[in-house]
Amino acid sequence: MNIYKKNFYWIVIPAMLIFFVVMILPFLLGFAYSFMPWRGTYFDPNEPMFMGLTNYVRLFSNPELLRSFAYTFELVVISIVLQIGLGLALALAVSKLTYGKGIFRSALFLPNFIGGIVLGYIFAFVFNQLFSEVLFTSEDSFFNYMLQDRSKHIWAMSMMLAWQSVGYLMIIFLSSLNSIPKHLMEAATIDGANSFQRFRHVTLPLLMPAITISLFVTVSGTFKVFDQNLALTNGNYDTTLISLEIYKIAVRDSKHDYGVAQAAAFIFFLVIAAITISQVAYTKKREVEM
Amino acid sequence: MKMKKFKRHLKKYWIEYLLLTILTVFTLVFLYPFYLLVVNSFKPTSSIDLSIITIVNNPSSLPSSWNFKYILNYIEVTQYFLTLTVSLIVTILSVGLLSVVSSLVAWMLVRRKSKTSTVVFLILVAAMLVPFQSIMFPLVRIMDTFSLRNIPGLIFMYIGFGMPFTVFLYHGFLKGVPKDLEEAAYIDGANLWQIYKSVVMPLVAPITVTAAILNAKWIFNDFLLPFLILGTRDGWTTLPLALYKARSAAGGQYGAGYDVIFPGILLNVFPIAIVYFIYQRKIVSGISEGAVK
Repeated sequence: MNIYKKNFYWIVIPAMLIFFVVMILPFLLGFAYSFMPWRGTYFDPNEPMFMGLTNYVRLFSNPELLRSFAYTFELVVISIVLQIGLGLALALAVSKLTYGKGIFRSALFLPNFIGGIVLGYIFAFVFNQLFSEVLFTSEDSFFNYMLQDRSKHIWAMSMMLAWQSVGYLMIIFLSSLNSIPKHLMEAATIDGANSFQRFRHVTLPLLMPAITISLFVTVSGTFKVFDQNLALTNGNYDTTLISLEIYKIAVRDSKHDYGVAQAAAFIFFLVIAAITISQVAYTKKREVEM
Repeated sequence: MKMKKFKRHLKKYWIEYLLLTILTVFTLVFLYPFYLLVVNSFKPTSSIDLSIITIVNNPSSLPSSWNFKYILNYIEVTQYFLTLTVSLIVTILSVGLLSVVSSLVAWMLVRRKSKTSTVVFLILVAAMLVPFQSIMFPLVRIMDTFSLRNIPGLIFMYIGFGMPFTVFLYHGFLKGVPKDLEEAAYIDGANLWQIYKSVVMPLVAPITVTAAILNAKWIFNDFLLPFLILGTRDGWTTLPLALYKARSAAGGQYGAGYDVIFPGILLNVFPIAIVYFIYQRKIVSGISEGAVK
Protein backbone atom coordinates (compact mmCIF):
# COMPACT_ATOMS: atom_id res chain seq x y z
CA MET A 1 0.00 0.00 0.00
CA ASN A 2 1.85 3.08 -1.17
CA ILE A 3 -0.61 5.45 0.54
CA TYR A 4 1.71 5.47 3.59
CA LYS A 5 4.79 6.07 1.48
CA LYS A 6 3.09 8.87 -0.41
CA ASN A 7 1.94 10.72 2.70
CA PHE A 8 4.75 9.94 5.13
CA TYR A 9 6.80 13.08 4.65
CA TRP A 10 4.14 15.74 4.59
CA ILE A 11 2.73 14.41 7.84
CA VAL A 12 5.98 13.72 9.67
CA ILE A 13 7.99 16.77 8.58
CA PRO A 14 5.68 19.53 9.92
CA ALA A 15 5.29 17.68 13.22
CA MET A 16 9.02 17.18 13.54
CA LEU A 17 9.55 20.84 12.74
CA ILE A 18 7.56 21.86 15.82
CA PHE A 19 9.46 19.28 17.83
CA PHE A 20 12.74 20.61 16.45
CA VAL A 21 12.02 24.22 17.40
CA VAL A 22 10.73 23.37 20.87
CA MET A 23 13.13 20.63 21.95
CA ILE A 24 16.10 19.90 19.69
CA LEU A 25 17.12 23.47 18.89
CA PRO A 26 17.03 24.65 22.54
CA PHE A 27 18.92 21.53 23.55
CA LEU A 28 21.72 22.12 21.04
CA LEU A 29 21.80 25.86 21.72
CA GLY A 30 21.88 25.18 25.45
CA PHE A 31 24.80 22.83 25.03
CA ALA A 32 26.66 25.46 23.01
CA TYR A 33 25.81 28.21 25.54
CA SER A 34 27.33 26.13 28.33
CA PHE A 35 30.73 26.94 26.80
CA MET A 36 29.98 30.65 26.39
CA PRO A 37 29.64 33.71 28.64
CA TRP A 38 25.87 33.77 28.09
CA ARG A 39 23.87 36.25 30.16
CA GLY A 40 20.37 35.40 28.94
CA THR A 41 19.98 38.05 26.30
CA TYR A 42 23.58 38.88 25.42
CA PHE A 43 27.13 37.59 25.78
CA ASP A 44 29.43 39.16 28.35
CA PRO A 45 31.90 41.17 26.23
CA ASN A 46 34.54 40.99 28.98
CA GLU A 47 34.97 37.28 28.52
CA PRO A 48 36.12 35.27 25.50
CA MET A 49 33.28 34.01 23.28
CA PHE A 50 34.39 30.41 23.63
CA MET A 51 35.38 29.70 27.22
CA GLY A 52 36.13 26.00 27.04
CA LEU A 53 35.18 24.30 30.26
CA THR A 54 35.32 27.46 32.41
CA ASN A 55 31.57 27.35 33.14
CA TYR A 56 31.84 23.73 34.25
CA VAL A 57 34.81 24.52 36.49
CA ARG A 58 32.91 27.42 38.06
CA LEU A 59 29.99 25.14 38.54
CA PHE A 60 31.88 22.54 40.50
CA SER A 61 33.48 25.16 42.69
CA ASN A 62 29.97 26.30 43.65
CA PRO A 63 29.19 24.47 46.91
CA GLU A 64 25.47 25.31 46.75
CA LEU A 65 25.00 23.46 43.52
CA LEU A 66 26.69 20.32 44.83
CA ARG A 67 24.63 20.54 47.99
CA SER A 68 21.38 20.80 46.09
CA PHE A 69 22.42 17.87 43.90
CA ALA A 70 23.11 15.74 46.97
CA TYR A 71 19.86 16.88 48.56
CA THR A 72 17.93 15.89 45.44
CA PHE A 73 19.54 12.43 45.41
CA GLU A 74 18.54 11.98 49.03
CA LEU A 75 14.97 12.97 48.21
CA VAL A 76 14.86 10.54 45.29
CA VAL A 77 15.99 7.63 47.48
CA ILE A 78 13.45 8.43 50.21
CA SER A 79 10.71 8.88 47.62
CA ILE A 80 11.40 5.54 45.95
CA VAL A 81 11.06 3.66 49.23
CA LEU A 82 8.14 5.68 50.59
CA GLN A 83 6.05 6.02 47.44
CA ILE A 84 6.53 2.58 45.95
CA GLY A 85 6.20 0.91 49.36
CA LEU A 86 3.02 2.79 50.20
CA GLY A 87 1.59 2.49 46.69
CA LEU A 88 2.16 -1.26 46.67
CA ALA A 89 0.76 -1.70 50.20
CA LEU A 90 -2.39 0.24 49.29
CA ALA A 91 -2.83 -1.73 46.07
CA LEU A 92 -2.50 -5.05 47.92
CA ALA A 93 -4.97 -3.91 50.58
CA VAL A 94 -7.52 -2.54 48.10
CA SER A 95 -7.27 -5.62 45.88
CA LYS A 96 -8.32 -7.84 48.82
CA LEU A 97 -11.60 -5.97 49.29
CA THR A 98 -14.88 -7.34 48.00
CA TYR A 99 -16.74 -4.03 48.18
CA GLY A 100 -15.60 -0.43 47.94
CA LYS A 101 -12.61 -0.91 45.63
CA GLY A 102 -13.81 1.86 43.34
CA ILE A 103 -14.29 4.41 46.12
CA PHE A 104 -10.79 3.96 47.53
CA ARG A 105 -9.26 4.00 44.07
CA SER A 106 -10.96 7.28 43.14
CA ALA A 107 -10.36 8.94 46.51
CA LEU A 108 -6.68 8.09 46.74
CA PHE A 109 -6.02 9.04 43.13
CA LEU A 110 -7.55 12.53 43.37
CA PRO A 111 -4.45 14.39 44.75
CA ASN A 112 -2.53 13.31 41.66
CA PHE A 113 -4.54 15.83 39.65
CA ILE A 114 -3.45 18.79 41.72
CA GLY A 115 -0.62 20.94 40.41
CA GLY A 116 2.67 21.57 42.17
CA ILE A 117 2.06 25.21 43.10
CA VAL A 118 -1.31 24.48 44.70
CA LEU A 119 0.16 21.46 46.43
CA GLY A 120 3.03 23.48 47.87
CA TYR A 121 0.72 26.17 49.23
CA ILE A 122 -1.61 23.63 50.86
CA PHE A 123 1.26 21.84 52.55
CA ALA A 124 3.05 25.02 53.56
CA PHE A 125 -0.09 25.68 55.60
CA VAL A 126 -0.25 22.11 56.89
CA PHE A 127 3.37 22.16 58.08
CA ASN A 128 3.59 25.77 59.27
CA GLN A 129 0.17 26.15 60.87
CA LEU A 130 -1.63 22.88 61.42
CA PHE A 131 1.42 20.85 62.49
CA SER A 132 3.45 23.54 64.23
CA GLU A 133 0.75 25.65 65.88
CA VAL A 134 -2.01 23.14 66.54
CA LEU A 135 -0.95 19.49 66.54
CA PHE A 136 2.74 19.41 67.49
CA THR A 137 3.38 22.62 69.41
CA SER A 138 6.33 21.27 71.40
CA GLU A 139 9.62 22.50 70.00
CA ASP A 140 11.16 19.07 70.52
CA SER A 141 8.62 17.42 68.27
CA PHE A 142 9.94 16.25 64.93
CA PHE A 143 6.81 17.63 63.26
CA ASN A 144 7.25 21.13 64.69
CA TYR A 145 8.31 23.61 61.99
CA MET A 146 9.56 21.02 59.53
CA LEU A 147 10.09 23.55 56.75
CA GLN A 148 12.63 25.65 58.64
CA ASP A 149 15.19 22.87 58.96
CA ARG A 150 17.06 21.24 56.09
CA SER A 151 17.03 17.75 57.57
CA LYS A 152 13.35 17.85 58.58
CA HIS A 153 12.21 19.54 55.38
CA ILE A 154 13.26 16.57 53.26
CA TRP A 155 10.70 14.44 55.12
CA ALA A 156 8.04 17.10 54.78
CA MET A 157 8.75 17.25 51.06
CA SER A 158 8.68 13.43 50.82
CA MET A 159 5.31 13.30 52.58
CA MET A 160 3.91 15.90 50.24
CA LEU A 161 5.20 14.12 47.13
CA ALA A 162 3.87 10.83 48.46
CA TRP A 163 0.46 12.40 48.97
CA GLN A 164 0.51 13.43 45.34
CA SER A 165 1.84 10.19 43.86
CA VAL A 166 0.73 7.11 45.83
CA GLY A 167 -2.69 7.07 44.17
CA TYR A 168 -1.13 6.88 40.73
CA LEU A 169 1.31 4.15 41.76
CA MET A 170 -1.52 2.26 43.44
CA ILE A 171 -3.49 2.27 40.18
CA ILE A 172 -0.47 0.97 38.26
CA PHE A 173 0.01 -1.85 40.79
CA LEU A 174 -3.71 -2.65 40.92
CA SER A 175 -3.97 -3.10 37.18
CA SER A 176 -0.89 -5.29 37.27
CA LEU A 177 -2.27 -7.37 40.18
CA ASN A 178 -5.54 -7.86 38.30
CA SER A 179 -3.70 -9.35 35.36
CA ILE A 180 -2.13 -12.14 37.44
CA PRO A 181 -3.93 -15.35 36.44
CA LYS A 182 -5.82 -17.04 39.31
CA HIS A 183 -4.61 -20.52 38.40
CA LEU A 184 -1.00 -19.61 39.26
CA MET A 185 -2.05 -18.73 42.80
CA GLU A 186 -4.11 -21.89 43.12
CA ALA A 187 -1.23 -24.03 41.85
CA ALA A 188 1.13 -22.45 44.40
CA THR A 189 -1.39 -23.05 47.20
CA ILE A 190 -1.77 -26.69 46.22
CA ASP A 191 2.02 -27.03 46.20
CA GLY A 192 1.92 -25.90 49.83
CA ALA A 193 3.16 -22.32 49.56
CA ASN A 194 2.05 -20.03 52.39
CA SER A 195 0.83 -16.52 51.73
CA PHE A 196 4.27 -14.93 52.11
CA GLN A 197 5.84 -17.47 49.76
CA ARG A 198 3.05 -16.87 47.25
CA PHE A 199 3.73 -13.15 47.40
CA ARG A 200 7.49 -13.57 47.14
CA HIS A 201 7.59 -16.17 44.36
CA VAL A 202 4.42 -15.57 42.35
CA THR A 203 3.09 -12.04 42.86
CA LEU A 204 6.34 -10.12 43.11
CA PRO A 205 8.02 -11.49 39.94
CA LEU A 206 4.83 -10.82 37.99
CA LEU A 207 4.73 -7.28 39.37
CA MET A 208 8.17 -6.48 37.97
CA PRO A 209 6.86 -4.63 34.88
CA ALA A 210 4.73 -2.43 37.13
CA ILE A 211 7.72 -1.84 39.41
CA THR A 212 9.78 -0.77 36.38
CA ILE A 213 7.14 1.79 35.45
CA SER A 214 6.77 3.07 39.03
CA LEU A 215 10.51 3.42 39.46
CA PHE A 216 10.69 5.36 36.22
CA VAL A 217 7.79 7.60 37.23
CA THR A 218 9.12 8.19 40.74
CA VAL A 219 12.75 8.81 39.83
CA SER A 220 12.13 11.12 36.90
CA GLY A 221 9.29 12.87 38.71
CA THR A 222 11.29 13.52 41.87
CA PHE A 223 14.37 14.75 40.04
CA LYS A 224 12.33 17.34 38.18
CA VAL A 225 10.42 18.70 41.20
CA PHE A 226 10.35 22.47 40.81
CA ASP A 227 6.89 23.94 41.52
CA GLN A 228 6.55 22.16 44.86
CA ASN A 229 9.97 23.36 45.97
CA LEU A 230 9.19 26.92 44.94
CA ALA A 231 5.78 26.96 46.62
CA LEU A 232 6.71 25.12 49.81
CA THR A 233 9.87 26.92 50.95
CA ASN A 234 11.09 28.86 47.92
CA GLY A 235 14.43 27.20 48.66
CA ASN A 236 14.82 29.04 51.96
CA TYR A 237 16.62 27.38 54.88
CA ASP A 238 18.96 25.62 52.49
CA THR A 239 16.21 23.48 50.95
CA THR A 240 16.85 24.14 47.26
CA LEU A 241 16.54 21.14 44.96
CA ILE A 242 18.53 20.92 41.75
CA SER A 243 15.83 22.17 39.37
CA LEU A 244 15.23 25.30 41.43
CA GLU A 245 18.99 25.76 41.85
CA ILE A 246 19.47 25.90 38.08
CA TYR A 247 16.76 28.54 37.88
CA LYS A 248 18.31 30.48 40.77
CA ILE A 249 21.83 30.53 39.28
CA ALA A 250 20.51 32.15 36.12
CA VAL A 251 17.67 34.37 37.26
CA ARG A 252 18.09 35.25 40.91
CA ASP A 253 21.84 35.58 41.33
CA SER A 254 22.99 39.10 40.64
CA LYS A 255 25.51 37.85 38.07
CA HIS A 256 22.77 36.31 35.89
CA ASP A 257 25.25 33.73 34.73
CA TYR A 258 23.06 31.79 32.31
CA GLY A 259 26.20 30.11 30.94
CA VAL A 260 26.93 28.43 34.26
CA ALA A 261 23.24 27.58 34.69
CA GLN A 262 23.30 25.97 31.26
CA ALA A 263 26.35 23.91 32.24
CA ALA A 264 24.47 22.76 35.35
CA ALA A 265 21.45 21.97 33.17
CA PHE A 266 23.57 19.82 30.88
CA ILE A 267 25.08 17.88 33.79
CA PHE A 268 21.53 17.48 35.12
CA PHE A 269 20.46 16.00 31.78
CA LEU A 270 23.40 13.55 31.79
CA VAL A 271 22.59 12.37 35.31
CA ILE A 272 18.89 11.84 34.55
CA ALA A 273 19.61 10.07 31.27
CA ALA A 274 22.22 7.77 32.83
CA ILE A 275 20.03 6.84 35.78
CA THR A 276 16.90 6.28 33.72
CA ILE A 277 18.62 4.17 31.07
CA SER A 278 20.48 1.94 33.52
CA GLN A 279 17.41 1.56 35.71
CA VAL A 280 15.10 0.57 32.85
CA ALA A 281 17.73 -1.81 31.48
CA TYR A 282 18.28 -3.41 34.89
CA THR A 283 14.62 -3.95 35.79
CA LYS A 284 13.76 -5.13 32.28
CA LYS A 285 16.27 -7.93 32.74
CA ARG A 286 14.50 -9.08 35.89
CA GLU A 287 11.02 -9.20 34.42
CA VAL A 288 9.65 -12.67 33.79
CA GLU A 289 8.03 -13.66 30.54
CA MET A 290 4.58 -15.15 30.89
CA MET B 1 -27.41 -19.53 67.06
CA LYS B 2 -27.16 -16.20 65.34
CA MET B 3 -24.11 -15.33 67.41
CA LYS B 4 -22.39 -18.49 66.26
CA LYS B 5 -23.08 -17.69 62.65
CA PHE B 6 -21.74 -14.20 63.14
CA LYS B 7 -18.58 -15.55 64.75
CA ARG B 8 -18.00 -17.91 61.86
CA HIS B 9 -18.55 -15.05 59.44
CA LEU B 10 -16.04 -12.93 61.34
CA LYS B 11 -13.49 -15.70 61.47
CA LYS B 12 -13.63 -16.00 57.72
CA TYR B 13 -13.67 -12.31 56.88
CA TRP B 14 -11.78 -10.64 59.73
CA ILE B 15 -8.86 -9.72 57.48
CA GLU B 16 -11.18 -7.94 55.11
CA TYR B 17 -12.84 -6.02 57.94
CA LEU B 18 -9.47 -5.06 59.35
CA LEU B 19 -8.26 -3.86 55.95
CA LEU B 20 -11.47 -1.95 55.39
CA THR B 21 -11.07 -0.15 58.73
CA ILE B 22 -7.42 0.70 58.14
CA LEU B 23 -8.10 1.91 54.61
CA THR B 24 -11.03 4.02 55.73
CA VAL B 25 -9.04 5.75 58.46
CA PHE B 26 -6.10 6.23 56.12
CA THR B 27 -8.31 7.69 53.39
CA LEU B 28 -10.00 10.11 55.78
CA VAL B 29 -6.63 11.43 56.99
CA PHE B 30 -5.45 11.45 53.39
CA LEU B 31 -8.37 13.59 52.23
CA TYR B 32 -8.13 15.96 55.19
CA PRO B 33 -6.29 18.69 53.21
CA PHE B 34 -9.36 18.97 50.96
CA TYR B 35 -11.54 19.59 53.99
CA LEU B 36 -9.04 22.22 55.18
CA LEU B 37 -9.14 24.13 51.95
CA VAL B 38 -12.92 24.18 51.83
CA VAL B 39 -13.51 25.40 55.39
CA ASN B 40 -10.66 27.89 55.37
CA SER B 41 -11.86 29.61 52.21
CA PHE B 42 -14.62 31.18 54.30
CA LYS B 43 -12.61 32.52 57.25
CA PRO B 44 -10.52 35.61 57.96
CA THR B 45 -6.78 35.01 58.39
CA SER B 46 -6.51 36.08 62.00
CA SER B 47 -8.02 38.28 64.64
CA ILE B 48 -7.02 39.61 68.03
CA ASP B 49 -10.49 38.67 69.26
CA LEU B 50 -10.03 34.96 70.02
CA SER B 51 -13.78 34.30 69.96
CA ILE B 52 -13.82 34.79 66.19
CA ILE B 53 -13.06 31.66 64.18
CA THR B 54 -10.00 32.34 62.02
CA ILE B 55 -7.68 30.37 59.76
CA VAL B 56 -4.66 30.77 62.02
CA ASN B 57 -6.37 29.97 65.33
CA ASN B 58 -8.95 27.39 64.23
CA PRO B 59 -7.75 25.77 61.01
CA SER B 60 -9.94 22.70 61.45
CA SER B 61 -13.17 24.32 62.62
CA LEU B 62 -16.09 25.05 60.38
CA PRO B 63 -16.39 28.77 59.64
CA SER B 64 -18.82 30.73 61.82
CA SER B 65 -20.74 31.62 58.68
CA TRP B 66 -20.33 30.64 55.05
CA ASN B 67 -19.10 34.04 54.02
CA PHE B 68 -18.28 34.18 50.29
CA LYS B 69 -16.42 37.47 50.72
CA TYR B 70 -12.95 35.95 50.32
CA ILE B 71 -13.87 33.82 47.33
CA LEU B 72 -15.52 36.76 45.56
CA ASN B 73 -12.49 38.87 46.34
CA TYR B 74 -10.17 36.33 44.72
CA ILE B 75 -12.44 36.09 41.68
CA GLU B 76 -12.29 39.86 41.26
CA VAL B 77 -8.61 40.41 41.99
CA THR B 78 -7.31 37.67 39.68
CA GLN B 79 -10.00 37.99 36.99
CA TYR B 80 -10.75 34.37 37.74
CA PHE B 81 -13.23 33.65 34.94
CA LEU B 82 -11.00 35.15 32.27
CA THR B 83 -8.04 33.19 33.63
CA LEU B 84 -10.08 30.00 33.81
CA THR B 85 -11.12 30.47 30.18
CA VAL B 86 -7.50 31.01 29.12
CA SER B 87 -6.42 27.89 31.01
CA LEU B 88 -9.22 25.83 29.50
CA ILE B 89 -8.54 27.04 25.97
CA VAL B 90 -4.81 26.36 26.28
CA THR B 91 -5.45 22.90 27.73
CA ILE B 92 -8.17 21.85 25.29
CA LEU B 93 -6.37 23.10 22.18
CA SER B 94 -3.02 21.62 23.22
CA VAL B 95 -4.49 18.26 24.18
CA GLY B 96 -6.63 18.04 21.04
CA LEU B 97 -3.87 19.04 18.63
CA LEU B 98 -1.40 16.78 20.43
CA SER B 99 -3.69 13.80 19.97
CA VAL B 100 -4.27 14.45 16.27
CA VAL B 101 -0.64 15.24 15.41
CA SER B 102 0.83 12.43 17.53
CA SER B 103 -1.57 9.73 16.35
CA LEU B 104 -0.93 10.69 12.73
CA VAL B 105 2.84 10.64 13.21
CA ALA B 106 2.76 7.36 15.14
CA TRP B 107 0.52 5.83 12.48
CA MET B 108 2.92 6.81 9.71
CA LEU B 109 5.95 5.63 11.70
CA VAL B 110 4.39 2.23 12.33
CA ARG B 111 3.02 1.64 8.84
CA ARG B 112 5.90 2.95 6.78
CA LYS B 113 8.90 0.90 7.87
CA SER B 114 12.12 2.57 6.78
CA LYS B 115 15.40 3.82 8.17
CA THR B 116 13.91 7.31 8.44
CA SER B 117 10.97 6.16 10.53
CA THR B 118 13.25 4.22 12.89
CA VAL B 119 15.54 7.23 13.35
CA VAL B 120 12.61 9.61 13.92
CA PHE B 121 11.13 7.28 16.50
CA LEU B 122 14.46 6.86 18.32
CA ILE B 123 14.97 10.64 18.48
CA LEU B 124 11.50 11.04 19.98
CA VAL B 125 12.16 8.36 22.59
CA ALA B 126 15.52 9.89 23.47
CA ALA B 127 13.84 13.28 23.91
CA MET B 128 11.81 11.84 26.78
CA LEU B 129 15.04 11.78 28.78
CA VAL B 130 15.58 15.52 28.46
CA PRO B 131 14.40 17.40 31.55
CA PHE B 132 12.65 20.69 30.95
CA GLN B 133 15.23 22.56 33.04
CA SER B 134 18.01 21.76 30.61
CA ILE B 135 16.31 23.48 27.69
CA MET B 136 14.13 26.16 29.27
CA PHE B 137 16.45 29.18 29.00
CA PRO B 138 17.41 28.76 25.34
CA LEU B 139 13.76 28.00 24.59
CA VAL B 140 12.62 31.32 26.07
CA ARG B 141 15.27 33.02 23.95
CA ILE B 142 14.06 31.29 20.78
CA MET B 143 10.41 32.07 21.50
CA ASP B 144 11.40 35.67 22.08
CA THR B 145 12.96 35.83 18.60
CA PHE B 146 9.82 34.38 17.01
CA SER B 147 7.61 36.76 19.09
CA LEU B 148 5.87 33.72 20.53
CA ARG B 149 5.97 34.67 24.21
CA ASN B 150 2.18 34.59 24.36
CA ILE B 151 -0.78 32.19 24.59
CA PRO B 152 -0.50 30.76 21.03
CA GLY B 153 3.23 30.25 21.68
CA LEU B 154 2.34 28.35 24.83
CA ILE B 155 0.10 25.96 22.88
CA PHE B 156 2.81 25.55 20.24
CA MET B 157 5.33 24.56 22.93
CA TYR B 158 2.98 22.13 24.65
CA ILE B 159 2.56 20.33 21.34
CA GLY B 160 6.34 20.07 20.98
CA PHE B 161 6.90 18.90 24.55
CA GLY B 162 4.01 16.47 24.60
CA MET B 163 4.82 14.88 21.27
CA PRO B 164 7.55 12.41 22.31
CA PHE B 165 5.45 10.80 25.02
CA THR B 166 2.18 10.89 23.10
CA VAL B 167 3.71 9.46 19.92
CA PHE B 168 5.32 6.78 22.08
CA LEU B 169 1.91 5.81 23.54
CA TYR B 170 0.21 5.62 20.13
CA HIS B 171 3.20 3.85 18.58
CA GLY B 172 3.11 1.09 21.21
CA PHE B 173 -0.59 0.60 20.62
CA LEU B 174 -0.61 0.71 16.81
CA LYS B 175 2.26 -1.79 16.56
CA GLY B 176 -0.14 -4.48 17.72
CA VAL B 177 -2.90 -3.54 15.27
CA PRO B 178 -2.86 -5.36 11.90
CA LYS B 179 -3.36 -3.16 8.87
CA ASP B 180 -6.00 -5.37 7.23
CA LEU B 181 -8.82 -2.98 8.04
CA GLU B 182 -6.95 -0.04 6.56
CA GLU B 183 -6.17 -2.06 3.44
CA ALA B 184 -9.80 -3.02 3.05
CA ALA B 185 -10.83 0.63 3.33
CA TYR B 186 -8.15 1.57 0.79
CA ILE B 187 -9.37 -1.02 -1.69
CA ASP B 188 -12.88 0.36 -1.24
CA GLY B 189 -11.51 3.68 -2.44
CA ALA B 190 -11.00 5.59 0.80
CA ASN B 191 -8.33 8.29 0.85
CA LEU B 192 -5.85 8.94 3.67
CA TRP B 193 -8.15 11.21 5.67
CA GLN B 194 -11.08 8.88 5.36
CA ILE B 195 -8.95 5.94 6.53
CA TYR B 196 -7.63 7.99 9.43
CA LYS B 197 -11.05 9.27 10.44
CA SER B 198 -13.11 6.11 10.13
CA VAL B 199 -10.57 3.33 10.71
CA VAL B 200 -7.57 4.52 12.70
CA MET B 201 -9.21 7.04 15.04
CA PRO B 202 -11.84 4.64 16.39
CA LEU B 203 -9.15 1.96 16.79
CA VAL B 204 -6.86 4.14 18.91
CA ALA B 205 -9.72 5.65 20.96
CA PRO B 206 -8.64 3.95 24.24
CA ILE B 207 -5.14 5.40 23.93
CA THR B 208 -6.57 8.79 23.01
CA VAL B 209 -8.42 8.76 26.34
CA THR B 210 -5.25 7.86 28.25
CA ALA B 211 -3.14 10.44 26.41
CA ALA B 212 -5.78 13.14 26.84
CA ILE B 213 -6.01 12.57 30.61
CA LEU B 214 -2.25 12.56 31.14
CA ASN B 215 -1.64 15.56 28.89
CA ALA B 216 -4.55 17.57 30.29
CA LYS B 217 -3.42 16.89 33.87
CA TRP B 218 0.06 18.11 33.12
CA ILE B 219 -0.81 21.10 30.92
CA PHE B 220 -3.65 22.46 33.05
CA ASN B 221 -1.43 22.39 36.15
CA ASP B 222 1.80 23.51 34.52
CA PHE B 223 3.37 26.50 36.20
CA LEU B 224 6.96 26.86 35.06
CA LEU B 225 6.42 27.27 31.32
CA PRO B 226 3.71 29.97 31.61
CA PHE B 227 5.84 31.60 34.31
CA LEU B 228 8.88 31.78 32.01
CA ILE B 229 6.93 32.67 28.87
CA LEU B 230 4.24 35.04 30.13
CA GLY B 231 6.07 36.24 33.24
CA THR B 232 4.34 37.99 36.12
CA ARG B 233 3.39 41.08 34.13
CA ASP B 234 -0.29 41.99 33.77
CA GLY B 235 -2.33 40.44 31.03
CA TRP B 236 -3.73 37.04 30.14
CA THR B 237 -2.47 34.31 32.36
CA THR B 238 -3.20 30.75 33.49
CA LEU B 239 -4.73 29.56 36.77
CA PRO B 240 -1.57 28.36 38.60
CA LEU B 241 0.32 31.48 37.54
CA ALA B 242 -2.54 33.70 38.73
CA LEU B 243 -2.43 31.97 42.11
CA TYR B 244 1.32 32.51 42.33
CA LYS B 245 0.89 36.20 41.49
CA ALA B 246 -1.90 36.64 44.03
CA ARG B 247 0.21 34.90 46.68
CA SER B 248 3.21 37.11 45.95
CA ALA B 249 1.05 40.23 46.03
CA ALA B 250 -0.54 39.19 49.35
CA GLY B 251 2.95 39.78 50.72
CA GLY B 252 4.22 38.37 54.01
CA GLN B 253 6.08 35.13 54.02
CA TYR B 254 4.17 33.53 56.90
CA GLY B 255 0.59 33.78 58.00
CA ALA B 256 -0.34 36.83 56.02
CA GLY B 257 -2.49 36.33 53.01
CA TYR B 258 -4.08 33.00 53.91
CA ASP B 259 -7.49 34.53 53.21
CA VAL B 260 -6.30 35.05 49.62
CA ILE B 261 -4.39 31.79 49.26
CA PHE B 262 -7.14 29.44 50.44
CA PRO B 263 -9.88 30.74 48.13
CA GLY B 264 -7.27 30.71 45.35
CA ILE B 265 -6.38 27.10 46.00
CA LEU B 266 -10.04 26.16 46.21
CA LEU B 267 -10.81 27.86 42.91
CA ASN B 268 -7.81 26.17 41.28
CA VAL B 269 -8.82 22.72 42.50
CA PHE B 270 -12.56 23.18 41.87
CA PRO B 271 -12.59 22.75 38.06
CA ILE B 272 -10.25 19.76 38.31
CA ALA B 273 -12.38 18.13 41.00
CA ILE B 274 -15.57 18.57 38.97
CA VAL B 275 -14.12 17.01 35.85
CA TYR B 276 -12.58 14.26 37.98
CA PHE B 277 -15.86 13.36 39.66
CA ILE B 278 -17.83 13.31 36.43
CA TYR B 279 -15.33 11.13 34.58
CA GLN B 280 -13.69 9.21 37.44
CA ARG B 281 -14.43 5.76 36.01
CA LYS B 282 -13.06 6.67 32.59
CA ILE B 283 -10.04 8.37 34.14
CA VAL B 284 -9.08 5.48 36.40
CA SER B 285 -9.54 2.87 33.67
CA GLY B 286 -7.75 5.07 31.12
CA ILE B 287 -4.74 5.40 33.40
CA SER B 288 -4.75 1.67 34.19
CA GLU B 289 -4.76 0.77 30.52
CA GLY B 290 -2.01 3.24 29.72
CA ALA B 291 0.10 1.96 32.60
CA VAL B 292 0.19 -1.65 31.43
CA LYS B 293 1.34 -0.74 27.93
